[in-house]
Amino acid sequence: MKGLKAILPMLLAGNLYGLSGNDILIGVDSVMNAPKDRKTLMKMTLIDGKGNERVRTAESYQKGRDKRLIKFITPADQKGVSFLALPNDVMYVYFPAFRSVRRVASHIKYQEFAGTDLTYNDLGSFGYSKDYNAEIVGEDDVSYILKLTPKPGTDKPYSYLKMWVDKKTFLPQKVEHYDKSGSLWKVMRIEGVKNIKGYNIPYKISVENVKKKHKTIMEFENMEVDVGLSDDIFTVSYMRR
Amino acid sequence: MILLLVSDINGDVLGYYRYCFGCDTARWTWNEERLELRFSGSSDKVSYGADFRFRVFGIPNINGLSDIQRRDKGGISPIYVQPREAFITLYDIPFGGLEVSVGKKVISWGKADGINPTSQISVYDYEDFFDIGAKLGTNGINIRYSLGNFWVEGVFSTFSPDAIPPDPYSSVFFSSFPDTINIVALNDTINIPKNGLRGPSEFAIRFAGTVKGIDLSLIYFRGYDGIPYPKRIDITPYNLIEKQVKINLIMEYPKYHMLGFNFASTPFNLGFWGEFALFIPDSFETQKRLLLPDPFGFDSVTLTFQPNKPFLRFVLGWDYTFPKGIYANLQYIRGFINERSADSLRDYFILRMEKTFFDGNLKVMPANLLLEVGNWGNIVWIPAFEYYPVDNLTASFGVLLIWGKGDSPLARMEKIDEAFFRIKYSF
Repeated sequence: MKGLKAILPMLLAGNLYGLSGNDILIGVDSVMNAPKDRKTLMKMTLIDGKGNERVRTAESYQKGRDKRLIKFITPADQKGVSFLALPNDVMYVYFPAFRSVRRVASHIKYQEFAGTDLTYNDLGSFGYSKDYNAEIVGEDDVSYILKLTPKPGTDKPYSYLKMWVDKKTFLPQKVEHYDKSGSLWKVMRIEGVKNIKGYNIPYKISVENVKKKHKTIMEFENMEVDVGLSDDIFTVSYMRR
Repeated sequence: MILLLVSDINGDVLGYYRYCFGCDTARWTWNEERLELRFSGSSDKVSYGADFRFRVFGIPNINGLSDIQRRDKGGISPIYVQPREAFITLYDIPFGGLEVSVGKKVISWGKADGINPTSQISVYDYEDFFDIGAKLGTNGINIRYSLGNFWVEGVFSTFSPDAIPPDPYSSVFFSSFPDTINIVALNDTINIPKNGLRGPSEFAIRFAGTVKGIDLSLIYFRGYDGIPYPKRIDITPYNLIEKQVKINLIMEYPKYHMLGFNFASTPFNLGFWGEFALFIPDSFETQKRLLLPDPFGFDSVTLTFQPNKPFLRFVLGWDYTFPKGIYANLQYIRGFINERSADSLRDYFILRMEKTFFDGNLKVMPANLLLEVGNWGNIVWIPAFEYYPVDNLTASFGVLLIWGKGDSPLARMEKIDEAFFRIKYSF
């Protein structure tokens, strides 16, 4: 289990001295971002409160924690629309109808992406420990229960997160997102995990917006990891292809 | 390794209708059904694209019995086929980082929304006043070499004119003769650049990249204005008592250099962009000839000429998403699309605000506003909304309202108040 090996020394130390919430959160990030890169076909099913479904599909490329390119395949009116996220909140959107690439500012970070329950920020980078402090607030036989509060100076739309972390795999099983008033806003669940090249990788994730009664199910198909994706893929030039 | 091309056919079916309720005689001004087909395919090393529009205008073109007897029904439903793009692009051939496109392609270089003074390669399609910024493909070769976050791009193309809107919208581009002149015949001729290697050629080069989080580009363009200007005007008095004249108008496309600078950045969570285009026109003189002695003072006739003075057009823009998802986009513009000389430049604000409802199924755009700076009574307001009941289907409704005073082009368009409805299905 490659992701876990990287944090093994820390976990061993934790067994001796007791794991802190922040230690566990670093472990979560390490496991979630263990592959050097990944390429997948992403299927997003949007379900509204009445049970109506809409489906979006996109090619997704990720390198490290903070380089990501998403190119829409369906629906037809969004075909070719691409989203590129780079380090330091640099983001671009390409609109094929206008043949133009648009730099987008971080004010859209917390807007919903393409009708899903995910924000641009959710898609931009993976990593909780950079933005949150964690404390252990509970534990059962299979999970640590963490409370994540935004670090001072970070701009987050949530007052805190509550995360259930699998003790064996260090994958988050469920994350509850609470709004600024402390009300439950969104619930993310990992609903399926595959082992690919020794990595435990979620292939099915759901995000439910409790307030809007809207849900997005993301399924990752044909996933390939550690394929040596070139940095050239994560450029404005490549978005237009 | 060259993989097989994966080919796709996509497109739209569109119904588009406009009714001018402000015109002297209220009437339908647009009645179109359109099929747009887009062909595309790509592999690691090559891609292609083509875009064709098949357009049917529902206003019959019938002048006699023979027009309604035609087997192609062309008089009843005139059909127009319009090739917009057809190009092939090679990647990393013969070496990595190189991208070469050949054919008819839309090339858009600006950073601003809709008004892009530095984007001069692809000609503009001004046919639809609601679709400002639409471009037509240009024949040429486009070479781009990328190195990380920097690239240099060159384009060599042949001249193509802008498409201007039909009457009465064309009045935004062309001044009319004074009402005191009664024109009994107007003959206009447009001379396009002479065919050959030099005559119709245009070229541009762009250096672009990101420095300290700011996207920058420098552009040089050498080519023609897409709008023709009067080169010679012959005014022939026809009936001295009725003050009637005949006019023969010869127009040409002025040539110019353009130096451009673009930037885009995101300070303080805001989107912030700018385009600056310095136009340096070649010498272009208009001859005005009165063929008989001038009894009416026609020498006082003024037209919009292309002067030889350099001039600067620019756009500065900001956008922001407020809490509750209210999106605002503000641009300050020096020089609207029709203003192409130092003497004609005016300043404008364009404000766009929008908000979506019902899980994004309804987008409301209450403030689509153009305001002329200093002449605040000159306004274009297009409140509209878009409805997306199912995937791939968009229905748009709205109205165009224009207020104009004085010598503003908007004054010439003030009566063009319209309602519009557009429905589009993408496949």
